[in-house]
Amino acid sequence: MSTQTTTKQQTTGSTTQEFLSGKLAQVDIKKIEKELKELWLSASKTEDGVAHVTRACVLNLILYSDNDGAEQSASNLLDDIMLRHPCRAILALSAKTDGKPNLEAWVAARCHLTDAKSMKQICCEQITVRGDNVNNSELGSVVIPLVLSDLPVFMWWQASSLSYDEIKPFLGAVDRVIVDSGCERESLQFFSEVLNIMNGHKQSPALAHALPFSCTDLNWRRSLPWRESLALAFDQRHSSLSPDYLAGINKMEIRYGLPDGAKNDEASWKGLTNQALLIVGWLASTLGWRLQKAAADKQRVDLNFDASGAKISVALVGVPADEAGEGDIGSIRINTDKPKAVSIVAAQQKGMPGIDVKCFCGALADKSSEDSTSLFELDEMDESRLIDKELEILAVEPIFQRAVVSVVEILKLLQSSKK
Amino acid sequence: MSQSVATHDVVKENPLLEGMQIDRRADPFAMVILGAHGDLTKRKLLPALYALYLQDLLPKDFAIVGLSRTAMTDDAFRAFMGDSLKKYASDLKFEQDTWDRFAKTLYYLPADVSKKEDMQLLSNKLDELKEKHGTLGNNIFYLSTAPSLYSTIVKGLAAVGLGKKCKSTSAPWPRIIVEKPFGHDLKSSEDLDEVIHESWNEHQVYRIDHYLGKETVQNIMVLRFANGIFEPLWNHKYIDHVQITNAETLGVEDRGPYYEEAGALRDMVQNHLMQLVSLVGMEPPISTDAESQRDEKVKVLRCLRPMEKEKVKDFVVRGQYGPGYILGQNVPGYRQEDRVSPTSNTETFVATKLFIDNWRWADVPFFVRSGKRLAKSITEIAIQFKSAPLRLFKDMPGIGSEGLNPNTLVIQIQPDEGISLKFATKQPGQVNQIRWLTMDFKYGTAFGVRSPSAYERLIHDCMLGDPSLFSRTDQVSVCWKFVDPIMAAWADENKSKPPKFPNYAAGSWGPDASDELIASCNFAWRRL
Repeated sequence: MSTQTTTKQQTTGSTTQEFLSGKLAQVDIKKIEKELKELWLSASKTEDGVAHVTRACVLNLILYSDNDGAEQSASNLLDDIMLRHPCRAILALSAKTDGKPNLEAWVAARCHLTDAKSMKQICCEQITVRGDNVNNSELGSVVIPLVLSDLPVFMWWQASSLSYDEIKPFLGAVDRVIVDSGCERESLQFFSEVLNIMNGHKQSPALAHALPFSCTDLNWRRSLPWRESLALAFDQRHSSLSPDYLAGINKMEIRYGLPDGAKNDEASWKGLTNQALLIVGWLASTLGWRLQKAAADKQRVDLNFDASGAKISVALVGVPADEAGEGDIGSIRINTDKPKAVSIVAAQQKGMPGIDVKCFCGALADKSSEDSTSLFELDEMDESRLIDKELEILAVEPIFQRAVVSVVEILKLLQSSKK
Repeated sequence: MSQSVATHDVVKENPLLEGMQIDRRADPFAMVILGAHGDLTKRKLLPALYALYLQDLLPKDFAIVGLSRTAMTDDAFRAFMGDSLKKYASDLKFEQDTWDRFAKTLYYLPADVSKKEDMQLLSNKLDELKEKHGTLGNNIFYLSTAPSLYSTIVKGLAAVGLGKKCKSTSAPWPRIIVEKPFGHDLKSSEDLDEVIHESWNEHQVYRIDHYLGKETVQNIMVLRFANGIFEPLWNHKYIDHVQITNAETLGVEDRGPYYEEAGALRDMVQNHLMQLVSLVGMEPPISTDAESQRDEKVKVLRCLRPMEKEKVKDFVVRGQYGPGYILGQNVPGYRQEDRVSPTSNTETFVATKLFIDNWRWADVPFFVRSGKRLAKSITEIAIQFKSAPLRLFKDMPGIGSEGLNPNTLVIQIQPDEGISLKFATKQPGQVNQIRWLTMDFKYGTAFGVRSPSAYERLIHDCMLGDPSLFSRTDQVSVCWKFVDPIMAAWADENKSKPPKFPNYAAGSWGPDASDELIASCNFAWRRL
């Protein structure tokens, strides 16, 4: 079946003001660039001869979604993102309907005033391409030519599932793929696909890039304050513990948040350990822990590692919603027994911005030794800051890749232990 | 917090730090602003501290003490600063609750810095704040008074044990920020340094030149050394000349007495514009640490061709504005300004031709001008490249016998911080005609985030103990060494043949002699 391309219903000339106000103007799918150019040209013409509109762009952001309502949620977020990262945003929306295959496109400007005095507006553009009942190769053939050359291309994958085959048609034009395991319940499949994307990209000569390609997970970014607090807890510039204590780690417990009214079955917590697993994967791959055993029971995952003969037991424990947000980390406790017995507790009170890290002398169980030192607090980043940070990075993150390899190993062993 | 990626050595020690940006959070501290009733405090310092507070860049525990001779209570000082903030920092979000929390850290001490008992009161106050606000005894003293008081303050701080030498790794740490001018000539600057170094080590001294805190000024290093395309061209083979302009429409405002003593040469050229010359002219530093950068800046300034007193007139032009029009307003001449002598010979304009005698810059003139009450407020550096060697398009319409314009790279420092590159392109149409266009980058357009003010950046760096953007003592000396002969020549001239001031009208681009200076090398000032 051939795909229809809907032509625009009104001329762009009459819609300049609407375009600048952020209202979507439908454009001919085959002439998106041409029509955009006309809209910008028209917008730059003023009665006083002074251009009040400046078009700015430092990157391309492709946002792919197959969810209903993605456009609205993206719209709110883009206003915020474009303020700090002027960009060409391309919303690639894939939908399954009862109708025929169809491709449509709209454009809109997103502007903000530089200052009230000059009344000058800094504007970015949003192009929405919606493909009904089309595959991603077709959708990609419209989206990829819209990418502005010589500027980095970020792709935020917001589809209901992650699949290398689905994302592949876009990869040739993308420098960094951003996914989110925080929204993903099928953990093993998800992280395996992340590895496929990273490895598949490496192996494909057709996907050779001027810039190094990278793939990252917003959940990895979310875990950063926790990883930082653990790293700095073993750094003498920030705490009383030296890195020597890392070799003495023998026990770790990560508490993660369950949904309200979670039942004691696997379905109620599936996928919610993703952030905790990334932290374990990071520690295991960095400190050379080898996975020995993995078992899941109700809302608890138990892992056993070996590091040069030393045994390390790790537990991921689900906690009620009032202790940590769904899938978020509530606290991390680490016991080390070398050079001395010390316990580190990094905890966040729900709703509080910082992570409080304390160091206890002796084992955790020995609560009588309340010789604790509050080490430092770290701020947590909200959704908007997470994306902001991602758009600042183009480098490959080998540490993330190593952590994902470790996570996949854990998940595979967990799966096989169930059989 | 500022951030830096964990180095290889750090990662080797603690593998968990691999790939992490390590936050550098400032230690708790107390800052004493000496001269707190002055203009700088209300216009710049307090807004900068409040902006850092809003961005969560101050440590949890800190206190600020304003000190001056004016009698005032803590509450009156807080109210005064709150009002100033609304007036002078309109770009900052003012919320009463936030301000109230911040204001609780503000204190005021009426004191005479020349009295030991008053300095003892300051010491007692800091001890009290150490307990109350957990400042750990880390103190920053910001000298924002009249420069004539600097020596007195430094001695006074030392007398009560507040100013004392310590190692760079010591805790608690005292630091001192000294506002420009650092002396009024080489000798006075060396005298001041001697007094300072009696009780402070050089690493504790932060000589502030706010130009270095500006985003575009910092970007000069990035532009030059992070891009591969400019540095190969950045030398006498491809650069024809450099123009540095600092033009202000403002007059001396209420700073008449200060300006009478300083003049444009001391006020702008000796410090700010010399900093720009060093950033444009320096060699790549061996690393980004403070000393490596400052070593290179000093090295290039040492290469400035010395000016003999007798030849000053061939290389430097001075001017003073008379009455004129600025943006449609009739404005008085300098000699008619408040608290300015009606027979003053103080210069409000300087233009100079400099040469950097080293391999890179052999025979490339640097033209530097700075003036008040000029036609437009603008500060920029223009790198003018040599023209194409062959005048291939000389017969095209619009191309004169002189050939094509040269390419120019302009680094605009204020307003509209940014960079533009001028280049030739063919005008569309049947006729071959060349048009000159610019490729523009504007900070405000490309990055939606608000750039920190220069004072925000510099105060934050001092809190972190990073002196990269502050002037080192040898840098200050080498600049004075360069301008001393100019001042001496002018002093002689004032006695033998006083200048015919005023020699330019407010609202113009300076005296004719300035145009003649640059024309003597067959160039012209850029039309700005």
